[in-house]
Amino acid sequence: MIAGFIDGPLWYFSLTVFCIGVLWKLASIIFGKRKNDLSVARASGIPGAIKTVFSRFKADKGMVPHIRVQIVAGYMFHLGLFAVLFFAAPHILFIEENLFNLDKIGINWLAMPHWAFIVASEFAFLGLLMLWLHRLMNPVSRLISTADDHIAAILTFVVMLTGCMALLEGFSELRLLHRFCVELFLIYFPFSRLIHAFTFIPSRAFTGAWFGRRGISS
Amino acid sequence: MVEEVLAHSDYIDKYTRELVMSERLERGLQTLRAQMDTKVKSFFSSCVHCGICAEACLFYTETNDPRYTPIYKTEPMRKVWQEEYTFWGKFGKKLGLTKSLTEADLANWEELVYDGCSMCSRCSMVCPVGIDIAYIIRKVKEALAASEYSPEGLVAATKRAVEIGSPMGVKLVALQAQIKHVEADTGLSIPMDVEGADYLALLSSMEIINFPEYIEALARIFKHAGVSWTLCSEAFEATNSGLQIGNSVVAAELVERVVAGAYKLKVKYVISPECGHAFSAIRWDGPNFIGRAYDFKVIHILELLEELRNSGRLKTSGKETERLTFHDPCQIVRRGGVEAQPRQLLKSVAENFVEMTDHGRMNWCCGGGGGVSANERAEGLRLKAFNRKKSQLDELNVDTIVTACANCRLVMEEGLEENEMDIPIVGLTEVIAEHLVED
Amino acid sequence: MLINNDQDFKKAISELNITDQRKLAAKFVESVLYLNPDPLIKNALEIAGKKIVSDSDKKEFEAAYKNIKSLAVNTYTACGGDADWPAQAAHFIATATKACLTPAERLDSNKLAWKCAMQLRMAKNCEMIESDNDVIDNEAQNQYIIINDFIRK
Repeated sequence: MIAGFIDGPLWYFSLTVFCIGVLWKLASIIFGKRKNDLSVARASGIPGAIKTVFSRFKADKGMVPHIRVQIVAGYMFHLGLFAVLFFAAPHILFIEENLFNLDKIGINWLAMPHWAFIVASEFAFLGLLMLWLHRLMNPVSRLISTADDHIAAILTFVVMLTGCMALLEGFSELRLLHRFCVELFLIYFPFSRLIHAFTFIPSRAFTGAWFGRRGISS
Repeated sequence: MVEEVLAHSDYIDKYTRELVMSERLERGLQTLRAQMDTKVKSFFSSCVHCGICAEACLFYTETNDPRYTPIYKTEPMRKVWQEEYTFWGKFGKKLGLTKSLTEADLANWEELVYDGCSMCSRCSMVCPVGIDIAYIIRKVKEALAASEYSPEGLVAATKRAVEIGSPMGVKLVALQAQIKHVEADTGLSIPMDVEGADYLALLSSMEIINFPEYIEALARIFKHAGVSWTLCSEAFEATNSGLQIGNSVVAAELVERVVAGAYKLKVKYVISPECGHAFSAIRWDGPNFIGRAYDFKVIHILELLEELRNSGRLKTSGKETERLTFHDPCQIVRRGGVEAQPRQLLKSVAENFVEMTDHGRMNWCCGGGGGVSANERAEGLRLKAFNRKKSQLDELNVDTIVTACANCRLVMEEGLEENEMDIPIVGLTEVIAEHLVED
Repeated sequence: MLINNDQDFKKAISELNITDQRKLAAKFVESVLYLNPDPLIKNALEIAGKKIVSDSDKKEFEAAYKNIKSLAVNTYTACGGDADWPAQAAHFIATATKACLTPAERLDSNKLAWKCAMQLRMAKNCEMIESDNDVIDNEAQNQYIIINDFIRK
């Protein structure tokens, strides 16, 4: 019964909350009230906006020696998680069965080899742990972190851990536990810090446009 | 701090005390709510509290005090956003679980925001999720000003700006006296209130008082280049205390005076002088303060000089041979967009110009902008923050520093003096004037 | 030839050696010393007029320069501060005195006395602003008299 609930109504509920939550958040930002800037721009803000969405992936050279932990751990975690989420065979299978099948439009969604999956997930785990330790030990992060930051980190860790456990395919309960954690994650996502995964785009764009109007590359 | 204020009010009874306290907090809250726009909501939603902004802020890097982390300075606004615009915040508020903004918060954040932030925006350049942190801090200043949690020095300067027309109490007679002195020394006439001139030049009080050689430099350059210009007796002040303290109403009033002067004299351009915040105020924020676009264009003096040089109207001869560098005033370069022009100008009159490692849009602040240097309480912190600029200079071993902001100049002179460094600082406009080809 | 304009003034200064320029600059400051009675100024002017022959002279010179430089920096009117014209005049006197003592390698030695003279004119201007006096007491004329006397000797 529980399995039916997790694989059924809870899955649909969590997916709905996630999709509506994210769309609502983005819509409220994109279509939200904003004052027009009446100053005369040096250049259109649009190129600046687009450029900054991508340029902020690379840290300023002068900053790098001081933020190595955040850069290294941040990329390890995000890239590792991205790889596992979209290129791990069980996930591809799940998405094809429950969401959409790219085969139908002639796209062959290749899974990464097992060794790559192990490497990616180790990177993701290590990155997340390093980031969390940094958050706990660095005086700056410690001061500015909120409960939401810690809950998001713990929840993400639990999702990843149960995912690894679910690889023990002999135990379907482990797969169910992982799915349940994912569903909690999806429900929590739009109301938490995790929404940065989407809102970083308009944020970078706003700032890029602001500087771009002034003719400054940001 | 609130207690100190109240202790001096002998006639305020308990009820009135509570009213005074809650009224200030209420004004602060209302101002924060009014400032909450979609950009702020996007920024707060995106912040992952990584702390990277701290490493871009000289107030943090030179003190190691995490309270000076830029995003932490926005905490009053974040609290309001959290409680009133997020699911968990609203839910938590209903259950009494959230920590709402208090008057003590406003009192405590006064020092962080006014003493520990020059609005240099370096943090805005490095945030990985793209938060324009300085944009939010500006809004927090607005709330602090509304709730009367602003430094005495800035309040006094703002009062003088509104009542006298200058934050430093410089009246027209003082400017006229400086003009007479320049005219006597140069044999040139400084035009005042000339209707139909192309350019209206603004001046900052700092220049009029401390660096009047700037006025002479302008007169000589404009004569040489054949520029039609004028000063305005009713609108000569460029500095905008309203912007520095965070009071948009005052800021708008001060901008309107310049607009009225420009309109009266029917000029095509208004020139912003070598003053950082003045440029931000008149060029970028001004139209938004007054709610309409100008009938004239605003140009920074360095932009004009470079235009004149490029078009052949400004000719220079000889070059400085000393090893020199350029300190980028934040409001003019990073926030103002005048990055290339000072370099092109300097290269035309200097053969040994070297850049600081972090230069141009990523240069470090002098530590005194945004009203920090007008805030006596912040002196100790400002001198500590200057160590960042000191490190930059120690790397270069220059003979001279050139800059284009009277406030930066003074702040750096104090910082150099504090560190027993003997490096002269000069204004770029004066350097250009010194190399003019004699007519 | 009598100096009565800035072009000749500047040229005459540039033809003096650095020791003479320091002496001349000190005379310029002495004529408006009442605008800054700080004993450091007087002490600095005495030293500026000396010839540096020994190491102790050099140390004395450097110490005086350091003190006067500090005085000049600390007497600027701070940004946003209420303009105090007498204090600003005193600042320009300190700055002018600093010019007298600036080490040769730090300043274009042709312009030492010129720089000093310009700062003093700004000091007199501050006095004029404070007194609300419309008439310019043209310090330039006083400086021409001083340099003419100096060259004649």
